[in-house]
Amino acid sequence: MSPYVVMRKRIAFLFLCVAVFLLVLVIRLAYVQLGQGAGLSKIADDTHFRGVPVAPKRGNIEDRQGNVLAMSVSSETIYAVPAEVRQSGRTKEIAADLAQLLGKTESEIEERISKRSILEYVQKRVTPEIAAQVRARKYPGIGTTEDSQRYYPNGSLAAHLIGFAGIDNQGLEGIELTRNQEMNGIPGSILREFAANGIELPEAEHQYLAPQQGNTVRLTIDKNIQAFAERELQKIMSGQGVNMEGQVPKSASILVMDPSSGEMLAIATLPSFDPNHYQEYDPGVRRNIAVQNGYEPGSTFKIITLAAALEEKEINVDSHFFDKGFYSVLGKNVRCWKAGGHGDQTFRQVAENSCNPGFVEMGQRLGMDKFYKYLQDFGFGQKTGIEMSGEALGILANKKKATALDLATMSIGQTNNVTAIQLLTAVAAVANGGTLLKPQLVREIVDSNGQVVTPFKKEEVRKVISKETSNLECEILEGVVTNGTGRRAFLPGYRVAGKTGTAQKVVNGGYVQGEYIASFVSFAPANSPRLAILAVIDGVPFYGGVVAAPPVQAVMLDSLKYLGLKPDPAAPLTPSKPLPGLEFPPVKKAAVIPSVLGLSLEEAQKILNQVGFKLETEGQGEVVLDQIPHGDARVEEGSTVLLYLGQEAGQTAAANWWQEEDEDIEAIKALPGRIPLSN
Amino acid sequence: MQLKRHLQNLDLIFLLFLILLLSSSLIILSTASINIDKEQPFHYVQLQALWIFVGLILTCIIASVDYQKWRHFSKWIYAVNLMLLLAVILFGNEAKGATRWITVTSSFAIQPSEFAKVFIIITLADFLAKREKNLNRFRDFIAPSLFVLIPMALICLQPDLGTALVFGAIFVGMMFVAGANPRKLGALLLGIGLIVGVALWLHFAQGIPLPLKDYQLKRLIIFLDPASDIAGDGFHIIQSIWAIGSGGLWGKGYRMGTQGQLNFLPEHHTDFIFSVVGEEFGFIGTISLLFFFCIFLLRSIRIAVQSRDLYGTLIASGIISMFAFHILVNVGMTSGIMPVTGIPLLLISYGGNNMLSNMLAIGLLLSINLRRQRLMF
Repeated sequence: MSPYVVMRKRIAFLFLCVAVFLLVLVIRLAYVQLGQGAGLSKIADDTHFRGVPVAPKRGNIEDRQGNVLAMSVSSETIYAVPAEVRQSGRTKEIAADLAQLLGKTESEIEERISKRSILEYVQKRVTPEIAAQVRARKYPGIGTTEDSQRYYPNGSLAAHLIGFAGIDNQGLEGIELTRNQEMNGIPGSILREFAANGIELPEAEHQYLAPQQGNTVRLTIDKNIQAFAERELQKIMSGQGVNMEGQVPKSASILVMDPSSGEMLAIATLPSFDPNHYQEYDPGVRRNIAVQNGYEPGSTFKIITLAAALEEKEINVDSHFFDKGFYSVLGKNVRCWKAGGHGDQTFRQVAENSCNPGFVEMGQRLGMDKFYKYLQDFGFGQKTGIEMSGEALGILANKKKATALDLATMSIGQTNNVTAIQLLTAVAAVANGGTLLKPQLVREIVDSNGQVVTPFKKEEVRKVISKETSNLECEILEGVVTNGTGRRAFLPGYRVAGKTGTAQKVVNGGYVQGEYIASFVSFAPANSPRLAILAVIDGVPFYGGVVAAPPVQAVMLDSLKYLGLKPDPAAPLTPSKPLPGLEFPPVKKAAVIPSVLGLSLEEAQKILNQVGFKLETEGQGEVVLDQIPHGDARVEEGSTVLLYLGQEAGQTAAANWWQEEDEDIEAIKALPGRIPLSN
Repeated sequence: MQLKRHLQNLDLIFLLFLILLLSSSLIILSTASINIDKEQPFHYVQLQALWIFVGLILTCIIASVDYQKWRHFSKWIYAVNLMLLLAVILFGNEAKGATRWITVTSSFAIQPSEFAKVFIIITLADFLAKREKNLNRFRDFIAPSLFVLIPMALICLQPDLGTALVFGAIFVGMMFVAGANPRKLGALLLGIGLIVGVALWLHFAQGIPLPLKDYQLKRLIIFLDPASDIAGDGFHIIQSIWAIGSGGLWGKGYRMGTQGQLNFLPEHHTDFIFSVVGEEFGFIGTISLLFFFCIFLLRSIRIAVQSRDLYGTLIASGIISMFAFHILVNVGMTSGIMPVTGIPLLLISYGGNNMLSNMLAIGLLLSINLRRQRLMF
């Protein structure tokens, strides 16, 4: 080969190399321009279109009737584009003026508007007047944008449920937190075109993207029922609770549920807080104790024991049980609350009398396995799944280590730790025919056009007991209110079922003497329950039947009336056995008492006299805070109505409560202190 | 009469594509540079037109001179070249951390490294032509290597790594065409590659210092992962890829690009002008431009092949190597597959020195073309 040919070949080879390289470049360009083009185009736009966000209006929280519980009110936000401010060279002047307008220090404003960022908020939540003034100044790089601010028109009403949203409208607690996303909506923006140096381009494209407004969350809560519950709690927490002798408990809660659907109509807890100023409250106050705290339920839990024993046919309601006043298990005596015992009785009477040895017998007959099965099935030791963050599990005694004595105490509601919501849910299952339901707080989600996005769906957890067992137990529990320990919750003309409970507080592994958690659980009408109510009063030296039944009675009556449930003509008008001091004299000719709650004494007098009732007053003041008997009660014509006035309301003429005996307290009197949880 | 006979040799297609490229430069600059100085939007277009005009005159002059004449001045050219490069280091102006210019008037400065590329091609061609068939042993490589390494070292001192690498490309291309043993040349390249690789590994794994400042090294390797420093060294590459990519198939249209027009894209009238082409004229635009270059290079190769002597072939080969390197590295850099080395895009980027140096080279190519051999194939 001549050198010339070699050279030509080499040049050709060089070109081949170059051609290969060119091909690589073409492939690369095709990949970047054709493959990634669209995506990169968007990114490129994003770098020079700068959105001034337009916050969406956060959706409302409403009660089931559409009453607004949380709403967003418009406010304005002042922002700065620091690059434009710097470029104008008027930073100092602008800072000085804005500082004066917004009531901040000059250095603070100056720091903000000259920060090395694309967009800086100068002040959020500004009144429209100030925002208008700022706009009128026409400062370079300073603008305003619409924002919204959370407002809770009812103050502390249902505060624990609603929770609250922070300064950026982000939900921090309660429904505000759990439904944050749905209420938030999607922010819009005013897009403005900027060059690389941060200066807005004159005559550049402006685009307005409308924000997508948030959805409304409609709760299952009924504002009125919630208010009834909170009113009763207010009385209790202000030392005016019935039979409370002016004492103020640590906390108290009342829960109201529709047992047929699992919808919570009210969850009221005191102490409470005003979500409009949530920062000013102690975080402890913001705790929803009805969901986040557990307690030993005491006798209210006997409902569960009874349900299990009936379902498993361990007892026959008409078979007999002899109560000798105590029940010996493993050498320890579980005492009956009635000195000397109830003697011979049927199991129906055992239930009505809340006889401790009788219930221990039921537990022993069931045995460990079946008893724990029902604990599980009724949802104890598990979260109910209610839409509240931080729900407590409750604590069950360790089954592997539990002794017969543990079983005995568990049968009467001691030892195990449950939450108020767990207990009410379980009782609702007994009341509704035997199905455990998930307690729910949100009824539906509605979009900004009023269309229902997510409708309510009842959620059945499992079938726990049969309809027959449920019916039988409802009847028995009705007897507890008409004939037994629950007579303070009796409502003339309504079929009310219920059960009292007194738990001793456990501190450092031992029971505290003289400080109880008094509770009462109730549902009505007993034959077809519409309402299930639980009241828990923590830290009182009183029994559940004494102090917790009256608020349940009040909420039950007001709610039944509010829901339009007419008194049942078949229902008894008085309890079969009167309680000392709580007399329901035999009715000669019935008349219905009008409710005069909230009226002035003068008006009340006029109304009552018209219908022919006599009246007595107690306390000082002009306004009727309470009345006995309650409105709509059917009583003997011409009888006396007791009106509680002013500050003195809430005290009844009931007998001294300590003259009574309480089954829960008696049960553990003989026990050597605290029975430790075996886990 | 001789000139007239020569003119019959003129490669018209080469000339046509030269004119196409030069016109493209003015058109692209008329969109890429209008927003740099808002007071004088056409400042850069006018200046570039001036450089093209002066360049064309230079081309004509060089083309009319028989390139063989330059052989007599090889030593002088080499000496002057070294002196100019030394002068840059001694008297040059510093700008952006590098000393590359010698100011002549307030608005005009000479960048000797641009012309050094052409000077080295002419002198190396002479040097290698004399050593034809004596490039088979490794030790034969020593003299030509030193020949190139001395000016290369001076350029590295500025520092101007990009231009120094162009010297490498010129050296390899010309050596290869001059007949260097391809295995040994390959081994040499492989050896250099190995040394660089080991040095990089030692630097990163063992912390052995390199004769590069950290920021220089980072700039060279950032293209491997530009996202690691979006606001810093990766910024150029990312902006460039966004610009090119967002052009899509048809581009955003003349002066409709945003990255370039809004000055997000750095150096978009010089080193990153190709990104503006990608953004505003799309894939169609970039492919067309590459097509122009491809034909332009093909015709240059034809000139090299048709040269009447080895000296001419070597000069043409050096020029082709230089052109190809500029195109490949610049497009590779803007599309994110090559390091950012600050090499302008051949005949398109704005820049007087670069334009004149390229036109000088084209003058040489034409001179070779005009005096080509007429062989019957």
